[in-house]
Amino acid sequence: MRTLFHLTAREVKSFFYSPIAYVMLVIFLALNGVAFYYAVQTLTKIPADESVVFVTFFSPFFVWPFILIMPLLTMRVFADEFRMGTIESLTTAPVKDWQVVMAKFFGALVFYIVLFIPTYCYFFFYKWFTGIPAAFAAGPYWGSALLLLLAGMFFISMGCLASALNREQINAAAMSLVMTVLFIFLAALPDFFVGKNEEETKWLTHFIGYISFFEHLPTFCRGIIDTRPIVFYLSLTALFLFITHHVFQARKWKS
Amino acid sequence: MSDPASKPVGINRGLIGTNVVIQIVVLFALVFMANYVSYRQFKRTDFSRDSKYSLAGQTRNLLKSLKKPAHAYVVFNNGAADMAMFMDPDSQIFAAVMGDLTTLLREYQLNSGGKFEFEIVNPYAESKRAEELMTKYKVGETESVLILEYDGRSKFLTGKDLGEIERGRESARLKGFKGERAITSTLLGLYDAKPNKLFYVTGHGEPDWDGKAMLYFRETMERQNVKAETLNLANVEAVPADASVVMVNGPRFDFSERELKLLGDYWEKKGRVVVCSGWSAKPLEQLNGWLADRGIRPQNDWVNKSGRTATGEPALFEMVGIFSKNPISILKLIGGVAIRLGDPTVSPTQSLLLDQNKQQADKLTLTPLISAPDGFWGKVNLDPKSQELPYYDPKKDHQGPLTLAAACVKGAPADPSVKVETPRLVVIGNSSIFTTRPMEESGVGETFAIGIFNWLLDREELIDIAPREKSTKILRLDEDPEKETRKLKILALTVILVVPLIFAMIGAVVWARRRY
Repeated sequence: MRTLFHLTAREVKSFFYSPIAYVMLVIFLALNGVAFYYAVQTLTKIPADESVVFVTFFSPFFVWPFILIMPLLTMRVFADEFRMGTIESLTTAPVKDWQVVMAKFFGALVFYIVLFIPTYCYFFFYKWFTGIPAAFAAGPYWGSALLLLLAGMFFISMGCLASALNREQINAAAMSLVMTVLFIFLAALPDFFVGKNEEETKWLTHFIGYISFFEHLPTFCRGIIDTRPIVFYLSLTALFLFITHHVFQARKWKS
Repeated sequence: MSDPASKPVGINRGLIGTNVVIQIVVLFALVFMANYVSYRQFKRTDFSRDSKYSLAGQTRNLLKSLKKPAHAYVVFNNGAADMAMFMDPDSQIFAAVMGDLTTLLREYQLNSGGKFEFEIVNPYAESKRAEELMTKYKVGETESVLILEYDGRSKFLTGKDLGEIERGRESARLKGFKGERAITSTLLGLYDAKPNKLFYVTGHGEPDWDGKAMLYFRETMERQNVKAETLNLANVEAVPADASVVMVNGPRFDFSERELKLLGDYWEKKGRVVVCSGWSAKPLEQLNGWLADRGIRPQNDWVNKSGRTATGEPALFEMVGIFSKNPISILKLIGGVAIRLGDPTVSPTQSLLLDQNKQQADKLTLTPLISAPDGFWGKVNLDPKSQELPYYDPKKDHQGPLTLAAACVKGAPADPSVKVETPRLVVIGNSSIFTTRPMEESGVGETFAIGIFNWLLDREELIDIAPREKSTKILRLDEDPEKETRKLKILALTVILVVPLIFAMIGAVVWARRRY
């Protein structure tokens, strides 16, 4: 555990020493700020029965940066080691392969969490500034945070696999982006299938509803905690990390 | 000769590869199994304020009670929602509620255990399917409709049933979404095919059934699939055989012996009766006697509580009732909750005495439903002309605790789980409890009414909180538009510029320190 902690700390440090990370952070925060402002402005113009938290996370200004940030976060985790030639020393160091994979994963996850902290601070700033809460119950805050954490874990694990499979950062980013976009935009399919009750497409409707991020996002942002997405994201994160571990380990026995 | 011990051990890559593939396949299978179980056995908990995204208890109970599959078909050109202004008024409402409606139907589906399915049909893209549905369910010429079908019976809802919009110059805004209320009520009508008839007794100065005072109650009953008719007992030979419930509400004049005989004959034949009768300057002796024969004796005392205002002036308290916490299902949700019954001079309340002797002799089960809180007492022989506050006479007047409403069941089985049709009676010592004001003021009055009538109709599975209309509102950061604009500007500046700049500065410092 101690080794894992040290390796994770090393990964987190490497994130925060990189100027690219700050560029990413600043752009992401500015776009999240736009999403938040857009939410408040929309609610002051259009009558709705939704909270600021819900409208912020359900706006295109949030969803697009969310999608794009995933490959940027993970593209360098393994590919960077290949580029700098440190992969050999890492594989021969007295650390286990799973510790390396988990440290890479947790390092990216910590940075991902840091990206979202200011957005939640906006909600509390909003409450302090206007006297109106961004959501009238704790549910939407916790629900949205839980979903963003779970979905983030899943997309990061997917990005880690892409990075482990590619020696070039750009290839890793492209692969991760394709996987993320494909997964996220499966949610567009319910527009074609939702409510289609014919027997032959019924299972597909239910399946897409089960895995669709755009189905989970409104649910959790409204403060409804559903056990299905929790199991889905956790199990797939475990699966992708397991495969990443084997891909990373394969270097030893393949050569 | 080389030493065999120093010979490098060969790696069987094929074996390792196979092992890895097997491990990944096994994990895939485990992930699949975990997700399959999770899909079948899941839990959803609503942590929003007032659990506002969850279906109402009554809807959930109804969905659980469905014995056969129910279907909803939404026929609407969803692709043209942006062109709502050019649509017919019904379609405009559909365009405004479509998002909420889809979410709601999905909730129905999730809560039904596979018994509720829905389909959205675009009449332009799927004209054949739309035509098939329109013909099958005899909907007629309309572009947008929601069809509900259960056990071969169907009904359809139009835009007006689902929501209300406010038309602006360029667009229409959704004011209120009535989806759950409309769908549950329609499903209830399809589920409970037997027509439930409420006969509202007239001829004794009761509030007009079609009047404003009974509007809310009337609408509540309609939503519960209870059809109402008025009944003048003086003009009939017997209470109609198809009467599910007879309601006596706030009579000002007494009943004749013949009328009470008709009512008694009906009650004895497993009839269901509700009587709301408050304090009256001229006691309704005959009606009170009829009720007393059934173990609930109206006391004709004026229930009140007086005190002093902040300025020391003597004043009367508003009449309040507390729902009893008892095993009878009517009150499973509101036991211990208070209901406001209004100004005691406007809607006077009398207490009820539950006759224990009668209970044993006639095999009656008497259950108090509402009691008066501490401090309320019943004034006997009140002088209605007196301008002064009544004083408490310990020799004559009734001291609390006082019962304000009670239920009576004749010949109920000892085991409450055994369902036997028996005569049932509910008596309430206040005539205005079902009028619009107490019903509208809080959900409690409505829940009580739904509880009573569903209990009388043997539909205990439907006793729960009814769905309510959802309203939309505009967020106001400040009453003053100028101040609001200023606040919005400060917000924008802070979140789009100031906070990212702070992080940019931190980044610059880190970069500079590492570089130099």
